Amino acid sequence: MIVGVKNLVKRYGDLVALDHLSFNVKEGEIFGLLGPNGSGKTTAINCILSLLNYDKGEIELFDKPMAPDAYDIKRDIGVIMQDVAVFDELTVYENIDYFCSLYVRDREKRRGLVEEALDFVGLKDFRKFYPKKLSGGLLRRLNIACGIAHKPRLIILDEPTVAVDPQSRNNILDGIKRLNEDGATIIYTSHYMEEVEQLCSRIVIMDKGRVIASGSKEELKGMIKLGEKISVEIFGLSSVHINQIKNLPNVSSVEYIDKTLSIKYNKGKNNLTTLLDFFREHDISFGRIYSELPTLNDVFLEITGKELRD
Amino acid sequence: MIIFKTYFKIIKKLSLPLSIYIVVFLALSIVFSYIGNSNNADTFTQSKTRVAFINEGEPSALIQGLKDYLGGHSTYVDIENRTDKLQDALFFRDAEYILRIPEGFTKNFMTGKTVTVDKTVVSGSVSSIYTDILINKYFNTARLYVNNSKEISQEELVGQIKKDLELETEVILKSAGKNTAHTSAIVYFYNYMPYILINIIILGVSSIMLVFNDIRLRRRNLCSPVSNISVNSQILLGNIVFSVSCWAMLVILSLLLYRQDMFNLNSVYFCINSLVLTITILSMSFLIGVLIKSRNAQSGISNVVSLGMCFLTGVFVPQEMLSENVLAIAKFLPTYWYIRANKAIGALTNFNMENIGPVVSYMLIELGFAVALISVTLVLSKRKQLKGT
Repeated sequence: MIVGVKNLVKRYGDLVALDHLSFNVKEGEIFGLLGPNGSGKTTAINCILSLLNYDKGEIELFDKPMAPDAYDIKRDIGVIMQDVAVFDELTVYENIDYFCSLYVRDREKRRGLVEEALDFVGLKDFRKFYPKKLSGGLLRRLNIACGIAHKPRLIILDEPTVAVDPQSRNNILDGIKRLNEDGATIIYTSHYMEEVEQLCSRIVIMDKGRVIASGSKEELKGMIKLGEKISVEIFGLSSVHINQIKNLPNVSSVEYIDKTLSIKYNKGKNNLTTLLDFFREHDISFGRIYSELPTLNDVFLEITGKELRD
Repeated sequence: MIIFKTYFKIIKKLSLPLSIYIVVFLALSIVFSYIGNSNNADTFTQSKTRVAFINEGEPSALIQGLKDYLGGHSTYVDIENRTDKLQDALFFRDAEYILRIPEGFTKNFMTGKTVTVDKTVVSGSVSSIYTDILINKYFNTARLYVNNSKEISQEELVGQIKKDLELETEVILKSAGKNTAHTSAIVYFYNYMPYILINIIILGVSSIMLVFNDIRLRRRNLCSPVSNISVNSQILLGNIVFSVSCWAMLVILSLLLYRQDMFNLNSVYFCINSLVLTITILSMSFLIGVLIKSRNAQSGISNVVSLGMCFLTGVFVPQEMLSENVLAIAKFLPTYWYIRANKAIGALTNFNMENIGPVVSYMLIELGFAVALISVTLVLSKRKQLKGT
């Protein structure tokens, strides 16, 4: 086990930021901490890294208790914080070299690692640039390079794609996958469910400092009643027809807004075929049809009654 | 020592503003040194009073003797013996002293009668007092011989007076030594040094503190296997090396400017005093580094502290010219004691414990400020850290 968090409690006065939080991270997995802003993800990460004191609970990393002076543990951790933490006065190369040298003393070895990191994040052409000259996306990549240059066993990424353009985001996510393929265990926190869904092999969904669900994305989706969502463009639909659709097999709810019919189904088979048969029988003409499987947002919505981005 | 090395990489980026300060300081200290020098004399030349000599009596050896004696210390001006001309001469300072020998003066003097000379002088003139002294000296000596030797001729009398008055006491100016002018220039240089030291050290140290106190970088460093104590120690070491380097650079500058005049004990004490002040400024910079949150605040505070301290404590204006109220406030600032120490060092000719005592006590007061400032900084820093966790 790489990370073990047991009954972690952190209070800020009367506010309980972490409420008996427990989870484990196994070696080689990409572990996702998903939750809305303020759900306690960053607080949990800060406690794991011993940046924050906590009131109760246990934290183990690499099967050893984590503490502020556990330097042998810290040596194997790479941290990429939500806020970019680099020196404005140093160049891209010097920044990566600085953070790498906190872990690796051998200058020759370090030179190779810094070059690898530069190559990994695609900043080779920017090595002499100062951070202020980099775009937001490139700056995030530099932040990542600073965190991973020393090739840690465990990499913790706290919302690394906040305020990043789609191209850079894809680049970052691909990079994380490659790091994992190279053997690093990843803890990835985000409030972007798409990213977590795309990236993580195991996910913990947090709300109000508690774990509300955990498992693989399939397991999480399996926990809810929602099977699929079908949306259809229809230019005219009577209330009679809407009521008839509500009575079709597996239908959970029906909405007809702005010429779009949205139907939520409970788990079941052949929902689309049944719906198309209904349109044909009742001579209802329709435009485009979309079928969506449930997302993690649906999981969160069903469990908490609110959207992830609320 | 990565943090120590990074410290100097960051300082390198500040080399432009730092060098501007140093060039400005160098120029100003040279100018101030020379202005200071021109006001200090280390030689003595007797000034001569312009005297109008009018003898209304008969010419005599005694009066000629007086004229010759006075001529050695005065310059005679030729003015017509008319009241309006003499008044004009006094008004326009063509003459500062009009000496009139009345009729029968020599005869009366030689027979032992009480005699007086007439004089007209510029009111409040120092030179007239000096001329009075010379005339009195001449006639008092003459009176001494006349009273004790009734048969003495005027020629003999004048010869004796001349012989007596030729005796002079040699005056050697020892208090400031032979390098008074140079010592004074060095005092100016070292008196002005706090301004540049405050600016450079506050700029350098607080810039570094601003960078390393950035919560994001601090947390990032805390995640690494380098202990917090090691990080802080390396930053402290960097600050000390930087501050001492600045001080050493200015001392080398003084060596280059004043060369052999620096090779004496006074200069050693000037250097020690400036080093002590450097330590105090370093601790002050630590405090500022903990308090400030932005580069704008940094430059503002740096200017307020450096200019405020320098104007209040006698760095720019001599302490003698400051009011008592200002000096009362200045006593709570370390540069006041630095200037006091410099003044005492500049006047030192004998380096015994009694003379060095005040200098050492002023330096200890400066160090006291350093200890107090560091204590406040540590308390604030601890409180800040607790807030961060």
